[in-house]
Amino acid sequence: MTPSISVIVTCYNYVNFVGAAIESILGQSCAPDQIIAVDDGSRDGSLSVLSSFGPRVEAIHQKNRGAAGALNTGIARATSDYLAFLDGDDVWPPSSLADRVAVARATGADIVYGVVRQVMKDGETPDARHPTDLPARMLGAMLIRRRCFDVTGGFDESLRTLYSIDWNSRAEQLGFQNAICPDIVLLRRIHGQNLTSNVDQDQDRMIVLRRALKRKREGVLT
Amino acid sequence: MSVFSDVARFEPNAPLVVSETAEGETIILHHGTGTYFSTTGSGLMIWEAVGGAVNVASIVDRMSKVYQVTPQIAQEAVSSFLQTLADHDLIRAASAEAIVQDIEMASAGPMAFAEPVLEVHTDLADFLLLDPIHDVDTAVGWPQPAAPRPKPRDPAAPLKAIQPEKPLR
Repeated sequence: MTPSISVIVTCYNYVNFVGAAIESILGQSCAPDQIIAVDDGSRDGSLSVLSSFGPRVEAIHQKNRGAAGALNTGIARATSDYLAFLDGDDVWPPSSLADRVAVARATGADIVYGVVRQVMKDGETPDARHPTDLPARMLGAMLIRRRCFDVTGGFDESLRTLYSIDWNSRAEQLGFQNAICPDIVLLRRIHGQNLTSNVDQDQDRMIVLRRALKRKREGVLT
Repeated sequence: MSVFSDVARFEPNAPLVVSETAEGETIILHHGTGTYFSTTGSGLMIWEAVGGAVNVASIVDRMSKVYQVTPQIAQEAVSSFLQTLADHDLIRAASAEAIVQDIEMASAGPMAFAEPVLEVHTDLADFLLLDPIHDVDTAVGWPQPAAPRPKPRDPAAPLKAIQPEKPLR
């Protein structure tokens, strides 16, 4: 029996991309039971795109809380056994969900993640600065049992980036089992051309790494 | 015998390498490998000196003053640690323009010496290799905040559990 799946799409000013993201979900060979699209205060008409899919997509609009806040809103609304996530600017290959479900059923793992292929926004292959075709615990490549979130709580909304690393670190500490799906399950769009950083990202990065180190050393759950 | 000249100067391999020191520990991240590192004590002192583009002789001299260690052992420790940092691509030869910033270490007196150690962590490499540092766009999408950045959560506080609006199946 195929487990029920809720897909949570998050969107912030992705009007040019989010339609393709939703289409890639609707085109899955393993159809999800629920599609929740959370628009996180977009000002570019993204919500209109989400609403255009009618009752097939539960479109939610909220005041901007950041990506973690949008994800948490979607998780609270989700009703299925498994949750999958997709950024509004990324897409899934047609067998993405089916490939991950097959691994989940075969292994019984709580968390399954597959291979991420990175593509430039114009469709070109990224240069060497953007490694690609790697299995990664990136949300869009994951399938996660709903009950994991009941134990771990949601994503930390104080983090603008790397909230998924922080969540995975918590989940790992709590002993949830991972399994790797060898197939490409996420086509991740690269927007920036330059190796760039900013203060917020560096700050989040160090917060997350320190928490991860603390968990590894002391077994402290934070 | 050090493999490095006394006047050799190094600097962190930015922008691939970023670091932060807090609570007596330095965390160093290499974006190119997704590996992160940590060091404390004498290793932290050497990393801070590298950040200031201080030459090798000055690092050894500082270590000899801060720690209860002979100049020879200090020389060997500094040389060995610099080599370790170089092996992990964390440092490079300082450019001629690099300005020396000799940061004084507060110390009540010479401290007991322990060899500098660099802890190497690869457990988050899959995340960090695909990290959004590579993916910044000024026009669309997160992480550009539309609202003020929220206050960081107290790490000691438990996360609030999510309550589903509908009962789970």
